Amino acid sequence: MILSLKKWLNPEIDAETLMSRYAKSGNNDLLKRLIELHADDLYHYLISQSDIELAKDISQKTWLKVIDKREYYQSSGTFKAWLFTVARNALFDEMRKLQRFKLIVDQNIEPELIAIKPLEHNEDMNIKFRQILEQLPFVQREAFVLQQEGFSIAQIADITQQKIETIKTRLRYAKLQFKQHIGA
Amino acid sequence: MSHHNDDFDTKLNQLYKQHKNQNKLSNIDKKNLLLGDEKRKSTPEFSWVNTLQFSLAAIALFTLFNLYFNEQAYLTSPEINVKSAKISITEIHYLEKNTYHKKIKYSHQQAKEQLAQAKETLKNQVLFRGRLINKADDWYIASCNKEILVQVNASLLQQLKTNKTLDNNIAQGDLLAFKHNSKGEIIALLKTDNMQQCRG
Repeated sequence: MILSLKKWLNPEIDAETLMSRYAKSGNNDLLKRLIELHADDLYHYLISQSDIELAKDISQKTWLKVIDKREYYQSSGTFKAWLFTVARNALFDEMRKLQRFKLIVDQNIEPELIAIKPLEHNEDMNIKFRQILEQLPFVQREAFVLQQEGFSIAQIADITQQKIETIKTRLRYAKLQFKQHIGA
Repeated sequence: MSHHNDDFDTKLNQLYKQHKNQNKLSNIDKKNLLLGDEKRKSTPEFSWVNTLQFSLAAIALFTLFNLYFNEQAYLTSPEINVKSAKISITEIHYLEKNTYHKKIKYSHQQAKEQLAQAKETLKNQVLFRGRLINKADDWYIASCNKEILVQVNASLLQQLKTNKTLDNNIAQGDLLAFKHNSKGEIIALLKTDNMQQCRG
């Protein structure tokens, strides 16, 4: 009863509508709902590509950019894709400052097969998963995480500004690593 | 094969979700996401208005310091100012026989007066010369600057002849020099070198 009343008071609205309304009104309640919807997704993407400190920092910067640039939001794409694009740019800017960018550029050269270091003997699938994810090259890990976040290959290509074929290759290599170590 | 892949994707997806659950933002972290915005709102923006105000304040401070130190320099180095030629009035205060005296010297004024006096002397010197333009009973002598016509009456001419202070052979058109006594009276009329030109 209470749950249905709550739903009636706060009907589920998709992120694009919320953002469009927020862009027009600047109402902070709408922003809070957007944060509830996507803050964890974004943080997980960022922590997969950096570390806790940087992920938190970039998360905050990204949401502040959402506030500042809300007038430039166009409802043609999904809000989540726009959010991740903003975050990715902020992350790359920060990495350039921290001089970590060279590493990423080096890894942009597609490695056909990377040699995953021997995993510590562990039956825990979650630990194995984390170890493999951490060892994937930056660009493969990025493509994999974005796909797991529900983005299509075309959207991933848009966010990362790469060709669709490149994304497909990255995903194939990433999954191959998981398959080899985790198996079906 | 496709079923096999689907199972793998599902497994991978589950593992991903578990990994994601272990790496979530806390409620405090989520609140902090907006904290930055509130901090920014509470901090006044450094807009162009602030920049302008800051610049004006800096200019005002600079001017005040400049004035203050100029004043200090003026008060602490009077000699420089005393020697300065720009001073036109000097007040001298002194006591004499238990009476207070105050003298005012006008440096520029004095200089002007001296200049005027010098000009007057020069003018008079010019006036001391003139050309004889009419020689009848009375003589008419035009000053060199042609501003003054001096009429010398026959009685005075006679007196000058008696005193032998009137040159002979003075003809019309000659350049004559006057000689005055301290009272300004003509005591001699001398023919000067005709080559000498009138000045003034």
